[in-house]
Amino acid sequence: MVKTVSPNNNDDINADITSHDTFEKGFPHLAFKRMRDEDPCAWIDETDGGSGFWSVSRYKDIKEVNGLPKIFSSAQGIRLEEQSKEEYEARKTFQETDPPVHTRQRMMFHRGFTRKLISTYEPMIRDICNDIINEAVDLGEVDATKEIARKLPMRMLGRVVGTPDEDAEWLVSRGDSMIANSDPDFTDYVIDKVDTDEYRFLPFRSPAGKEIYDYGEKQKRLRENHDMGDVMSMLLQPNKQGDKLSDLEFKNFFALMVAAGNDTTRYSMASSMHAIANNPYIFDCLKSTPDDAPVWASATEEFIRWASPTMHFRRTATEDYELHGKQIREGDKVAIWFTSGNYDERKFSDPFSLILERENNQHIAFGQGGPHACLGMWLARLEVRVAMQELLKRVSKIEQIAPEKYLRSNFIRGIKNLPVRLTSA
Amino acid sequence: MATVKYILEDGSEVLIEADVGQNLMQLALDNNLDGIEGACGGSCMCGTCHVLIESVKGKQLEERDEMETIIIEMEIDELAPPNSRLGCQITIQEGMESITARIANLSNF
Repeated sequence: MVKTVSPNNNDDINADITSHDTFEKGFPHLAFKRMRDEDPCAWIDETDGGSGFWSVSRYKDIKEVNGLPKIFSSAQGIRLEEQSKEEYEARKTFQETDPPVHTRQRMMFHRGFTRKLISTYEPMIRDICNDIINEAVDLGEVDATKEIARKLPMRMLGRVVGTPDEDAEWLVSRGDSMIANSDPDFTDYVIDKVDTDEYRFLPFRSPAGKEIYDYGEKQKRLRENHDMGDVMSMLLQPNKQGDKLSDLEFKNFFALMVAAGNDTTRYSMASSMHAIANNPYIFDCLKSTPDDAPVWASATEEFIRWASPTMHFRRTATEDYELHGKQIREGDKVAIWFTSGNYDERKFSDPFSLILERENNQHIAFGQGGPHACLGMWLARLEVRVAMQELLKRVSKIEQIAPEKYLRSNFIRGIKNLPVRLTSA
Repeated sequence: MATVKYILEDGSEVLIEADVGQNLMQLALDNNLDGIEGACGGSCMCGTCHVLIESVKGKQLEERDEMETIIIEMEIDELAPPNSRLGCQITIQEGMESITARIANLSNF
């Protein structure tokens, strides 16, 4: 059950991986393959005034760096952007902390995202998919990212954490402004084109961060003396040890959840739909597969490897470290490229083929192997699987009718527009 | 070097020679054993490499730390016994002779 398809690909073997513009043309697979083969720990100069960084592109090395948080710290930021100490302190989420500070918060949040708890949401998620996919199929010709992949995650996440359905569209738009802060389609405050200095203390250096802070504060107040039976209420309660989240910890978590909980799942769905629309074999195979068949589990993992929406995280060396004969110095920035690792020929056989039954798929799209592995990974897996299952039940055909467009970002990889024709089943 | 005996969910047994530094999750994944997913890649975050340690010969295992205990309580069972462990947190050390680990994932615990 193997089918080779062309991944979205920017063919420039010497692509500038620091430039947001590069990724608007698709992920530069050839440039990363060259780095994996010739210079797996490459020094990259930054053209925007940044100090430069080490680019780690092989699977094994990414896992090594990701698994050494004492040496490769997240506590000076996880994006390549340089931040002052004051900016970092004001904006940091638990993503930008190291153990043991990170561990404490992570365990507080983990309560709401366990596999056991998330699995109970499947019927509810299926219902949401029904509503949104039916609307899209009725329209016929749609931008599948906009009408399906962009709408589903916040509706699902909102039901789980406890925000009202009617707020979902606004929350998504604010989330887009924050995390897609390098794409003019999503924000007026493009980070590398507009002076965003006055927003430097807000999440993602974006004015939308303030709106999300205020919204999160309001949600918190609603639950102060009233358990609403949702994940937010649970997270605001002290844990078994009596520990409680501070106001800033909660607000930053809320902002992170709205931003990161939306776009990565969106782009995993968009990439999956792109693969399905362009490969009749994948369409036919999955359409005839019952929901409870094991191939859905392997196909979902493969779709997520294929999408790899979080392209990199940045770490900062806390001591000197040698990798492939290169001397990483204390204070140097190090980018670990999960997307490159997920296409590393040394780890994955035939990585440029989407193999629905790929066995033992140890992809690192969720940052696996380090303390910052994605908190929402069970929700994301469930959402992608159920959305594709429900979509395939409702259509007899999916055709891409115009070229897709990619997000302008060197951080998040995604198909932001996917024009398709959906033929009702 | 130590011998790890995995007892799979169907009751069959698999013996694997493990080097010092290898952990029980990665060893199982590298040998394609059913029942170990390692969904978080060994980050002590998910519980999908859960095993019950039935015996250890030679150097004994250290007890679970707080984080492993919290994950087991949240992902497996609040009343999980002390030999309920995450494979990613058990690393082969000098002096270990053998370990017997029963694979016991979420669905059959």
